[in-house]
Amino acid sequence: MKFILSLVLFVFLSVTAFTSVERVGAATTFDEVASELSCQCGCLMVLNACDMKECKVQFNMSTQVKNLINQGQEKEEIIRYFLANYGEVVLAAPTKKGFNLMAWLTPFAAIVAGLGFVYLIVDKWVLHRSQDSEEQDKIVNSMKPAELSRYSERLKKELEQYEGGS
Amino acid sequence: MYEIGYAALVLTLLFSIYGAGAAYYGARKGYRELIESAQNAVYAVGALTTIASSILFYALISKDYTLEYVASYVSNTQELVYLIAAFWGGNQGSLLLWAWVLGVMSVVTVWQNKEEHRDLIPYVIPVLLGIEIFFTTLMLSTSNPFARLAYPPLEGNGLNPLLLNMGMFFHPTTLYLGYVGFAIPFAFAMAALITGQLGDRWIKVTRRWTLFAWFFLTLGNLFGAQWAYVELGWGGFWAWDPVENASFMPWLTGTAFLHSVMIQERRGMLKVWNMVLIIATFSLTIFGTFLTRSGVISSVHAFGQSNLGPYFMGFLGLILIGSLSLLFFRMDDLEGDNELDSFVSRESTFLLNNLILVGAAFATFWGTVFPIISEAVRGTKITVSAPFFNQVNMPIFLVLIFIMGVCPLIGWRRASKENLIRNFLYPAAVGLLLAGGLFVVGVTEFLSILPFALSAFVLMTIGVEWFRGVNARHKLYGEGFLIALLRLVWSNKRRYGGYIVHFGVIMIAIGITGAYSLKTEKDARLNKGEQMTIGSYTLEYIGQNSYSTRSYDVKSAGFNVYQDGKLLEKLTPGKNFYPRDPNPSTEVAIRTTLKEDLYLILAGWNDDGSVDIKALINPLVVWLWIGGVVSLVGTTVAFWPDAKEKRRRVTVRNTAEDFDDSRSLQPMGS
Repeated sequence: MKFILSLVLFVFLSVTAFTSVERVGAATTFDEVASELSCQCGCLMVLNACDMKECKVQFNMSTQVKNLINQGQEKEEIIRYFLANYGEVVLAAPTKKGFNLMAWLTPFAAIVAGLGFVYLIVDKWVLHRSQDSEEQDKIVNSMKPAELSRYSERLKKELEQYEGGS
Repeated sequence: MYEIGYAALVLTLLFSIYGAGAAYYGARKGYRELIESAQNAVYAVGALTTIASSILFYALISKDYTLEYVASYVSNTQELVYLIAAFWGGNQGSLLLWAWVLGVMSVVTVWQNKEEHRDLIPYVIPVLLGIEIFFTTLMLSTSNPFARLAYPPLEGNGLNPLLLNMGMFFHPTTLYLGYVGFAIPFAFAMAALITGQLGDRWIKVTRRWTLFAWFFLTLGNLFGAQWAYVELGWGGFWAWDPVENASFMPWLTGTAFLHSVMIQERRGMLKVWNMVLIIATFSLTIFGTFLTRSGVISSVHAFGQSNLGPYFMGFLGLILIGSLSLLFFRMDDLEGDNELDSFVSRESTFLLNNLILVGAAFATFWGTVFPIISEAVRGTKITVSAPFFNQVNMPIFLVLIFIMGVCPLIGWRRASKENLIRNFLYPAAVGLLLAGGLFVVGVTEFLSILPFALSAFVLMTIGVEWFRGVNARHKLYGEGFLIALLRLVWSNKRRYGGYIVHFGVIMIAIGITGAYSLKTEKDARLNKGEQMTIGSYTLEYIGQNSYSTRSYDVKSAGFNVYQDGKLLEKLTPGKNFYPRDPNPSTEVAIRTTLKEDLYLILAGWNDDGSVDIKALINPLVVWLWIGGVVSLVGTTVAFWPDAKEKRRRVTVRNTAEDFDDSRSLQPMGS
């Protein structure tokens, strides 16, 4: 059951991370493309958010994107164009294949591994606790009725005293 | 006079070396006088760093360009607030700021404990002074803030115009208070490992320091986000820049530490984990300081290329090797006093909370350094920026929000099925109802609905917890609800201060979700008198304006903002032109309401008199700032001392006076 919960957590985390909403059938917009490209002025921002003042690099790259959209190219074609001209560094995030897949999966794998480790430790503790309580039950069951009655009375008196507000 | 400043740094180094050695040796041999002498060395370091800092402040305010640092970061037209802010505008000054803040905090720490914890203090001092030695050595060897110029210029370079914002005054200072603040619990943790005093005493002693550091790190991050929002002109507030990540990671592990120590205090568990967390948190503060100076990762926040990277890596290595070695040596003594009773318990949710927070810190760290790893392994440069961090961290934070809702209402040790149903049925129902309602009104994306639904769930669980407490007081003592609420909070500030912080964090989550998932943007080119619409607003371009201030020239465009035909206000986005910079800075115009921000950016103007404008609607973004303030209020409540604690401290002090001090100085290995 706990393994299934870990698997569900891993799948939930990965799916929400990998989910992207595709606007099927709609024309390509500048922001759709620009949000997947990185401005090459060194700011490390996505193209439509470059915060360097009057960035010439951003202006030139943005003009290129707009021209390609006006020529009727789709987002994927435009991305491929920039990839061919600038290399992988122009993509705002790593691709989800090959070595780069490690970038995406490692954080979730680490969390699930941590969860697994915590589960093993806690399971050992909880198992230990239930063994302890079995031991205690054995001790109680082996007591004589008169002895058990004496302890029960004492327990009752002390609880009344405690809960009575004294 | 600047020779005095330099001499103050030299003396700081010498007193730090002396104090660290004297404290440690005095503790080993039981020489009380030597320990007191080491304490005096700490006071001297505090005074000397204050003198050095005062001299640099004087040089900056008086615009004395004989100092290279002043010539680099001050100009004749710079206003007083930015003359002061120039102190931390460059490498040398920011290192001095670290040293000064640490010096003052060390003085406060030693003074606070002049009658208590006498067994720990002799080992706290060497750790704090050891850090001081590092920063002072850097300044004296490679980054002297008092270096002179043979030919002083008549005018300085001034601060980068992007930094001429009040954020430059508040953001770095609050961040540094947060970074340096974590040195104190770290030092006490090391002292606890050295002396073998491994109970929760070191945690109780440093609880307020941890809250203090967390408060200022939160405030520093919020100031940074707000500054980015109003200054940078892209409509966002967090770009996942490596240096932003560097201040976020210790915040995450520090938050995990704040929660985890409650388990050690209450149940005597997670002792090793708490040590790991404070080591990680302090190490990440040094790592952040390293990132801004090493040049290994490019960032708009970086101080520029310097040769300090290897020194910081070496220091970081020393901290990690030293602290983890101590931890390893004491591993057997750090066994917990109790164990978990059940998977479904408050302790388990705290563990899960820690796992998620540390997981988020790891995800952020991993994304920040992955470009270096990729280049080393494949020889290919790649970029890891906002799209990666948003996609990876969002689901992690959603799980965290869920845990925030579960934890307050789940029982310690073991929660029954009845307990779970009783506590979570109504909050879950509210969350689902809100999700349904959002879908009906047109918010159909799952990843837009889910954060709001989870936020509603958490708000309800917090509300249920508060209502139960207030209702109980009302029935027991006959207090009115408002009085019962105030007394409930005042009688347990730590717990209810924490709930207020959670409340604030949910507001932040709502603000972020609204701004990111419901944003609207529109570009337009307008001639005078023309209009554009965005959302429920109509913008009418009414003309350009140009004027000069003491420091810069302004060119702006005026827009009347209408809603339902009614004029709301005039907004004037523009650009500022600075004398020594050919490129202007963008000054946005923002209209803020509780529902949304209307955000205008003047993209440019054309020869025909038209202007290019970008308009955005950022829904709910103001709740980010409100939530930040609420979180800080909650931290202040949790921080506030109470009478019970004061009585307990007096009892501990009175008991300690009867204790033979020489016996308490039992270092590791004796």
